[in-house]
Order: sequence, then C-alpha cells, then structure tokens
Amino acid sequence: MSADTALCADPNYNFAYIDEQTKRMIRRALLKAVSIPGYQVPFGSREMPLARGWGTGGIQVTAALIGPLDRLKVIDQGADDTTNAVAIRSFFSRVTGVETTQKVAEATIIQTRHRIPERPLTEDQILVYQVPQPEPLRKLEPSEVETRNMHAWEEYGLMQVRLYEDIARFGHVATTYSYPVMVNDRYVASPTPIPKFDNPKMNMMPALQLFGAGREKRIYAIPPYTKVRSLDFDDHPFTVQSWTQPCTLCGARDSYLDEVIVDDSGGRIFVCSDTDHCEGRRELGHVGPAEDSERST
Amino acid sequence: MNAPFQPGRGFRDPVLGPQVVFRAVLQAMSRPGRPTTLQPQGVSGPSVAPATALAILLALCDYETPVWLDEEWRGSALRPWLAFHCGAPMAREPNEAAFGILRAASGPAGLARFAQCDARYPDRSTTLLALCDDFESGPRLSVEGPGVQSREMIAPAGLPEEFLRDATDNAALFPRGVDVLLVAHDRIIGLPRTSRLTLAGENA
Repeated sequence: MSADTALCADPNYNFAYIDEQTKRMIRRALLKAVSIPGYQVPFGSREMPLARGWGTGGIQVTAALIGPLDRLKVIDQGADDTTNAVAIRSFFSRVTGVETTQKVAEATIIQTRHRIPERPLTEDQILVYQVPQPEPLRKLEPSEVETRNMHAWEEYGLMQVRLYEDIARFGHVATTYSYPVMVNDRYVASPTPIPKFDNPKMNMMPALQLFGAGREKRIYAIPPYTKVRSLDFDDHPFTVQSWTQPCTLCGARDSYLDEVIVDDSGGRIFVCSDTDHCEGRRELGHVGPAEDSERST
Repeated sequence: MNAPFQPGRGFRDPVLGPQVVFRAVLQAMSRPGRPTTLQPQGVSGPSVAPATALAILLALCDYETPVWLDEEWRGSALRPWLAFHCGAPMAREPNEAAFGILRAASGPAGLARFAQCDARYPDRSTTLLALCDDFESGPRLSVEGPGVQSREMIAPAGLPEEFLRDATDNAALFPRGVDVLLVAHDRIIGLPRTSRLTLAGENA
C-alpha cells in the first residue's frame, strides 16, 4: 500500500468502510456466484450509510473488490452527475481514497444503476450492478421457497407464460426494462432494471459482471464470455428499442436516448442517457441535427 | 507434536493483503484456465504448503468456514497455524468443509467426497485448493466453459490421481458440484464447476 493512498482515505474508517470479516463473507459469496453463473447467492447484507434500495448491494460488492490501484466510475441511469452516482462516488473517495473517473475507458470498476455503458467494456474491467429485485420470478411467485425450487429444477414455464400473455394482449412483449435473461443456458436471471436495449451487451461480454442486491441480500454474477440470451419466442424474436431521431446534442444514432422536456409547451428533445458517450462524441466534433443544419446554412 | 508452535506470519497489511489475494482468486475463477500470478503478500507458515495457498486460505477463511486437510496434514503444524491466524475450525468430514486442500500425496482426488449440496443451495459446496508442481509439464488439458472465450490449454503436473475423471463427473452435476483452484508456486488457475476439461494429449 502506498503512503499516498493511506493519506487520502478517511482514517476514521476501515479501508472501503466495511469490516474485514464482512468483506471475507462477501468475497466468498462472490466466488460462488462466479462459479454458478446467474444463481443468486444469499449473503449477510450489512447496514450501509445509505438507505436500503439505494444501491447498498452494489456498494458492498464494490467495497469487497476495491483496492488502492483501482479507478472507480459510478453511473446512475447512464449519468455520472445524478444524485445516486455523486453520493456513491464521494463515499468511496472518502473511505478508500481511490481515484475516480467519469470516463468508461479509464475505469477498472464501474458501479452502475440501470445502464450498461455504450462503449464496449474490456477484460480488465468489472461492472457492478445495483439490484433492487434480484428475483426475476418474484412478481409471478411471491414465495421464496417456491422460486428457489423453480430455479433448482429449471422450471421456467411461468416466465414464458408471462411473456406469452403480453403477446396475446398487446401483440408483442411489452416488457422494456428488467427484461429476463437466460444465463449460460441454465438460470433465468434479472438483468436489473436496465433497458432491454442493453441486454445484448451482456452476452459474451469481455468484462466480469457482478450484481449486488442489498435489501434482498443476494449476490449473483455473469463471468466474462458467458452466453446471455434474452427470453423470446421463435415467432416473436427479441428486439431492442429504436428511435426515429438521433441524439440532439451529439447526433448519435446507436445509443440509448432519454426524452427530456425542455419547456412547458410540449417541447422535448432526445439525448444520450450515457453522458460519457455523449461528451466523448461532442469532443470529437459530432453535433446534433439542429446545430448541424445551422452550420450548413 | 512436541515441537513448539511456530506462528509464521500473517498478511503484511491485514486489509490490503487479502484484497490483492481475493482479486487474484476472483480473476482466476472468472477466467478459468488462465494462470494468474499471486504473491503471498507476506504470509508465511509451515513449509509443507506453498505460501500462496496459505495466503488464499487466510484471505477467505474465518470461524465460519470449516477447512478440510488430509490426515497427514491434520497432524502437522498447519492445523495450529490456521487456528492461530484465522480461527478456522477443522472439518471432520470432507462434506462439511467450506475449503479444503487436495494434494497428490494423499491419494485419489475424490472430488465427490466433498460438499456438493443440493440444487436449491448450490453455493454451499466446498472450494478446493489443488496443489500442483507446475502448469506446464503435465498432461495437456483444454478448458472450455463460461469465462473462456474459445478455449484455454493448461498442463498441470502433479495433480491427484483421477482428477480429470472426477472433474468431468463434477461438471456434469451442475449446478451442484465443487470448485477447484489449482495452485503451483505463485500461480493459480481457477476451475469452477462450469469448466469442461478434456485431455488433449500427453506432453512430449
């Protein structure tokens, strides 16, 4: 450990806030989670200085992983500058003294709430998801005993029926986020409330994906290069959202767009939800369609 | 055992040492078949076991995790060393163990002896450290499965007898089964239960 790091971290707390006994317990759970891709490992979730349901699972996973050489990025709905991301980033800055970054390319650990960065992740990165509800079957079956049996015996018919009912009622699968995935052809898992736009990025991702649910006390994982398939039907294949217009700020046509209301007379724009992606493109000189047409006139 | 107890040393840094060890183990388990270098971070103990294996046990074990040692090692200085440094109890039976050490000298691998658990709680199975001589001079094995992009080739020497057969049976039990970490000097290779091993021929 370098002396510099020791100096930046708040000396009143253990490095990364939680105690060593708890870290060992979380680390053991993480190793089993990696060995059983998609299976939810129960763990002794601790009180964190943040309300449960606000990312305490992700924080505990990150705290068990992080070391002085890591560079941490925290995103909330794709943005680095929203409340949850700012709070968690400053928490880790204080209790570990590690460097933080807003650039995907520079980060070794990315803790995320509800998005996967647009930029493809590498083998040297770990993506930590904050998970509100780890059990994809919970809305269909309230009993933990039952859902555990369903996972154990691979009985996922109920989930297919749920998707089928969407098709029967709406003509298509109406689920747009938390779209269930099949991990390594065995476990149905929740991808967390990421938009289904991000689901294909999970398949064969070079980075390790870890999921922490603090309130629900579960940890699960998807190892790198693991098959992740979004559930669908042969005649209703899985598709992702698309937009008719590009990002207003950077003109991207390949990213997930958020709708932003800009005035009180119905004016709206669509912008990239991934702020690092959008800023990176603007730095390279990409502009949105409005500015583009101003330039050409 | 009349020799006085030799406590050896624990982690040089009790917080950052285990962190480095854990990250190496996580890296190894999430990329099966790819060797990861792991320095023991100051841990030293009875010379029978490599310091890297001791560091892994120290980083992950505590009073909650029964450790299994073969009969010979149970009577060695390793037992008081583990009790002193991490308070881990000794597992009486292999199937009660959270962690265990396998080595060629104690007979066939017998992976099926260890805790496989039931399909509802497959995370409660044993994690085994299998000590090897090296990763180059043994029979060549190809590793496939989650964490491996196409395939990795390894050639661990000095594995317990019947390890390959047992590992194949173990993989067939998925989601049940034990997870193995090969240790040779300061390098480790993860072989979680999802890894499929096949013999690719003997080394020349």
